[in-house]
Amino acid sequence: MPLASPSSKELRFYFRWPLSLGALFLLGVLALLYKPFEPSEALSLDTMSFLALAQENPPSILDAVGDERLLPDEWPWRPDEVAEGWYTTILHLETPPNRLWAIYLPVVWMNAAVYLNGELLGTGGRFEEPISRNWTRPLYISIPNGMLRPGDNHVAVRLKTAPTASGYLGKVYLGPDDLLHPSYQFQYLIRVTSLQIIVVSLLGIAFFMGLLGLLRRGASVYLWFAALAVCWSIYNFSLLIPEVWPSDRAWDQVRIGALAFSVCILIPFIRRFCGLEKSAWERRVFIGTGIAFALLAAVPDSWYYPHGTRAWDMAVIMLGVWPAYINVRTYWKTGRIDLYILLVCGLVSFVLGGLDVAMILGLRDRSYGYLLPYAVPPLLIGITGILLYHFVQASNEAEALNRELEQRVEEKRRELAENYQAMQRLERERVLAEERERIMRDMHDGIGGQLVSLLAVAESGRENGDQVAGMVREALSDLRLMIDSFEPVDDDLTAVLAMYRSRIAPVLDQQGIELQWQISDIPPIEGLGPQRVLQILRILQEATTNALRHAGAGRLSFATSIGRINGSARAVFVDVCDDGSGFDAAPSGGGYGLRNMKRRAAAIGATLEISPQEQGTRVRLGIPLA
Amino acid sequence: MNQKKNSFQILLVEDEGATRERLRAAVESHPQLVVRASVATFKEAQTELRSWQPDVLLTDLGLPDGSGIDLIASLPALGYSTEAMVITVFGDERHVIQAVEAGATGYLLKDDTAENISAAILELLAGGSPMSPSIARYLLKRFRREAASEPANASPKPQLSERELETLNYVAKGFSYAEISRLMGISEHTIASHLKHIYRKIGVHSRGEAVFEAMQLGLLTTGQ
Repeated sequence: MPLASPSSKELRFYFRWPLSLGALFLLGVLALLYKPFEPSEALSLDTMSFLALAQENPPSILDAVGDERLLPDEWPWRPDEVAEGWYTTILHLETPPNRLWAIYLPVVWMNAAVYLNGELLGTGGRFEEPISRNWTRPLYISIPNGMLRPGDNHVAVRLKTAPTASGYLGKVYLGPDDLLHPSYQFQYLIRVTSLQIIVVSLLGIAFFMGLLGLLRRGASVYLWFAALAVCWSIYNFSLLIPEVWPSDRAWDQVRIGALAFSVCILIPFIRRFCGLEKSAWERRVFIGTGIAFALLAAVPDSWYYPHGTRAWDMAVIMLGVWPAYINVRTYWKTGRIDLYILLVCGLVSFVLGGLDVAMILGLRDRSYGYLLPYAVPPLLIGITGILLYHFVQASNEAEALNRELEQRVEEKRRELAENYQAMQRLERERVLAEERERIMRDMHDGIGGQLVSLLAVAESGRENGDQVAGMVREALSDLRLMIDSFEPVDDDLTAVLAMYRSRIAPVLDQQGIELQWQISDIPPIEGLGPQRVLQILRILQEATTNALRHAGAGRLSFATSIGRINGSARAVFVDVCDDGSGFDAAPSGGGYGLRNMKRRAAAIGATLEISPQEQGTRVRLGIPLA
Repeated sequence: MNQKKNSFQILLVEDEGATRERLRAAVESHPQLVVRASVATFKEAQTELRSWQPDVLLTDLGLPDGSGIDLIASLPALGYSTEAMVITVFGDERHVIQAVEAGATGYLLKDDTAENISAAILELLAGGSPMSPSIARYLLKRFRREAASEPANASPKPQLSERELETLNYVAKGFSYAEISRLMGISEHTIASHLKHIYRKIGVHSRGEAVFEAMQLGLLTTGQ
């Protein structure tokens, strides 16, 4: 297999495998060292006489002549035979004990009762169908004082297994309570309490992972893991529960079903975990398992035990190869540490599951009981750690992404700002160029020409001080109009008119001409820039000059009003009226000025209309609104 | 402010010789107005101001060695109640507003007739202050802006009374004092004093602002 970066990948590979194998080895050693804690100073009943008798009372001593059985005694699988029997022995004591004694049975399949000298000492539960299942719990029965007699004592243990399960009696210990009880407690902790803790932990983890999966979109791997934890907790619970209902077989069905569906769930879980898409085979496996499960539930007991369950267990192990293969393959390709952890945890499950199968097949002593439930803690810790790691990593990545996004947004913003500035610069340059051109034109139009004629007068040598002063005044006043046109008027035409008035008022005063000011508020005129303002000012000046110079007016009035040009567009009208002789009567005289005014009005999209009044003339400038 | 006097002493600051002479002649065309000194530079003007208090300071803005604005601004520091007028070619807003903010209460056009020039000075001394529509407009905008940005800021801004604002509004629309007095039903004299108050408020406020800003910048220190 070609490796992209052999050095690091191989290093990882060769480093991790010994590590995991070492861990497995350690686990095995621990399992081997774990014995149901044999009490040292206690009496161990190594052999007992066995009678396959289905009776509720212990057989008499005379009757108790059966096979000698070496303990622990495992019943071979004989479904046809009676699944019930009695183990008896004679215990000879010189002196009865003077302290509390007890009988301790570390492993019993399924239920046992202990009799001493014909009297019942205690039981592990029901003997009727469905009988109590004590396959995970040790039995401990204390012997009341005085019940052990000097001389022979008759000890009888009644053992009954489910009609379809094989029976098993582990060692039987007899001895002082203070010596036996600690080893019972230890056994109970390992076989019962720890399983209870595991079930509760599984459900808790399932709850939180499920919640995480529901709240986070696209996190189906969490949901699959929650389902897996629920399934496994059902499996463990089915081993733990002593009193079953309605039948033993129903709970066997629950147990093997939970195991099989755990593997079914494991497939999509691992596939998602490895980043693989949903596949039709995942669904097919579920459907197939469901059908097989229903079929198995329907077969008669004689098929169900042992062949049905054995075949089922083998099939489940075979099915488990698929997720294991995906795990190994993806790990080999990517070298992901989380897959490695998953693999090791899975391997533990495989080994323990295999040992369980070996026990069911009678290849392994049953004193350890089922081991698969104990594969949960490493798997649980491993997967929970991995998923949390993923979750944290995802959040970190999201944050990093966010930061990067912010950075990019900031970059874009800067770019935009730069573009905007460049555009603004261009716009400014354009406006400047336009203004420059306009000013040049206006200078040419106005003060340039005036200066030229002033020069001509000055050079003619016939200069007359008043004439020169008048011409200079005219030039100055034109320059003022230009300067006024730069004032910001904010689209307010009255401001323009006011400016104009402040310019001509002294002149009119001097000439003794009456000025009437009938300016009212008018709506703003959009785009009333310097160019339009200057044209308006010049039109006003032209009108004023005409009235004063050519028509000899003595009164001048300025008025504003709002109306429509040719009955359509709304406009503001500025009227300049005089009481003079009228200048349109002589087109040759004032013609040039009138033409000029009309030209200027047209240049700014306005209209100019000159009409004779009863007395004098009215010049009406119409500026369209919008 | 200005007691009844027979004549008023004027300091004229203008760097262009012909214009200076023309203005001097224009001012003195009225018997009550005396140009006690007419100088061409900022330095000379300072020297004059140190030795006597003019009734009116007429100054150009762009002097070869300084700005007429600084001359106007220095008047309160000297303890003078001198009226200041700016001499300008065009009387455009940009020029005049600066001077008004420094404390000027009026302006003269350089090419105005002798009659108008002396009339404007006398009007100023009589308690009036001519104001162009452009300047009125500018001030209106400025007060509106300050009123808008007022609330949180506790620094004292100049407040114009309703009547002052109304007057300003009419001036901005180009009405003459006579017309405004008819429209508002008050005397022309009252209008003139409204306008003068407005000028003063602007000048005082601007000087205050300038001092405040200078202190912020560390150019001035308090309590030396």
